[in-house]
Amino acid sequence: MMRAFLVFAFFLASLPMLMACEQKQAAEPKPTPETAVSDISAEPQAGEAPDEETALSEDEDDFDYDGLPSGEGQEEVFVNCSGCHSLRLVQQQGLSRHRWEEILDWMVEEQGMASLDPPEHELVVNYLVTHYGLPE
Amino acid sequence: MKSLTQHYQADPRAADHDIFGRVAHKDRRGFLRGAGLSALGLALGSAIPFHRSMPSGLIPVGLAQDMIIEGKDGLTYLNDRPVNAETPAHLLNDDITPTARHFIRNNGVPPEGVNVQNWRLTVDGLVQNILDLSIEDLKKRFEVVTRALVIECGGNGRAAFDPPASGNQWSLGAVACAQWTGVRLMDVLTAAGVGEGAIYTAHEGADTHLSGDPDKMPISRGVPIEKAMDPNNLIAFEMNGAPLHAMNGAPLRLVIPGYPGSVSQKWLTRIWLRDQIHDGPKMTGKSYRAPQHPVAPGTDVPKEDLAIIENMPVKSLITSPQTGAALTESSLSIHGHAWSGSGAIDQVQISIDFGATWEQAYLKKAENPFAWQHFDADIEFPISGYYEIWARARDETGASQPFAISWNPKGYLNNSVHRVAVTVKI
Repeated sequence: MMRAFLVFAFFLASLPMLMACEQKQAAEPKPTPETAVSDISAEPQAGEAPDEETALSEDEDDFDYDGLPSGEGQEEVFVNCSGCHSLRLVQQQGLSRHRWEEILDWMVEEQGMASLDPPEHELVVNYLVTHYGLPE
Repeated sequence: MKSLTQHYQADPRAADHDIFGRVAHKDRRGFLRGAGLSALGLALGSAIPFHRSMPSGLIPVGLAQDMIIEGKDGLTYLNDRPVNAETPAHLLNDDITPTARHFIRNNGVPPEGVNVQNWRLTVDGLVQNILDLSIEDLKKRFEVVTRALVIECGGNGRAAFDPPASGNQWSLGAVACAQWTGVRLMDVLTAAGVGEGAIYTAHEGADTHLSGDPDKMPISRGVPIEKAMDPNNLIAFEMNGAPLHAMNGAPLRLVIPGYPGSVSQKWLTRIWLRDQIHDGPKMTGKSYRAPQHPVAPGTDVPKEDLAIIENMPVKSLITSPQTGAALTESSLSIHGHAWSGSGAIDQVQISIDFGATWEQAYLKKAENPFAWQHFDADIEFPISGYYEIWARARDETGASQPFAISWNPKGYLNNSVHRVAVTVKI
């Protein structure tokens, strides 16, 4: 269920890219590096044109959880926190376990977050303390 | 406000055109006659060698910030949902902050499809006459005034707390002084007639809660009646001579200078008077509260020892030079602003030797109460090297800026001395 949600969320997020890929198939000119015709110019880079298939081949394994580092609890934190606010808010913090517990309580008591069952709560707090805990 | 992704989701090619001025070739790639290539290159910080192959409607993954807010420029985004953005200190150099440079602190989701004509403000609770006013009514019934007023987020400077405090990690730029036009809050409350027993205001806005729960308000704060009746508070409908910016509360907001910015409710729909200290969202618990007595950094302060923050502290900001500047001359002119929630600034001092000696800056008078005051100083560096320019202001109550942060659990009220680094190579 959670997986399905993530796949769907990713599908939404990647819509513009998928649409763009569709447009790409309309024509296949040979890519050649060109210098910008504007005042911003740079030497053409040597190398291959970007692989046009990469964007299409992305699936949930490439999902980056909005930059949350991988680890136990990553998915739970993503799902429970990013429903309401962006994860940039989480990623700015460096807090003690006690403060993270307080914040989760506040989210549930005052901010309309669904309360987590004890194992999931533990998973979420552990993840937050591990990755966004007090710097040593 | 839309994020870049939302713009592109709606119509990728239109977004290309609207945002970057891009027109693609017939094969839906490239940039027809270079249209939009320069703008996109500027946004990316580099030219695009394979631009002829670049499909239209493709969001460059290299765009550092997935955030475009029309009418805002140069802000640093801390958060996109809710939108929280501050202004780097050197971009606050103008005496009156341009709207494009005014910080954004949202607690919820701003209202969409705002209709200025149909907007209503209700004044009720402990009043003699309930008022239900359109913005036109406000303009017709009350004197319209323009004032330069500082709004500063209570958490401005939180990023410097050690141990860190929770919340948006504002550095220096959650402060601004724009020209606000509106009617005096005092006049409107007087017309409503402050009822017996009213001690506190409660403010409500049209923004919605992040959870989507229609029964929840993201924020509703208030002030003591004595503060509400201060003649410098405005119910504002214009900012710098134009309608309010959508992210700064259009079409109507409170501007209650001197207190944390959160009392200046945006998208204002209701002011009610209460016979108790308001207990709306972010009035209670630990929000916008600080310990009543100094505490050691990291202390867990019980709720009952926290008091609601009222006057914001004395503070100054050096807006020129930009920190990190590399100078090639021995003389330098410094510019900045100073302000306090407790009255006028009577002195600003500058040091370039880590506070060992100080010299007086030239300080201008405020154009009206609660406007920030500008200071200038000409300094002379004796030899090449690394310097820090420090500024400290003092207000008329005698309060000055400390060197260290008076730590508090939620990271409010950081008014420590502003330090700007420069290297001089003469």
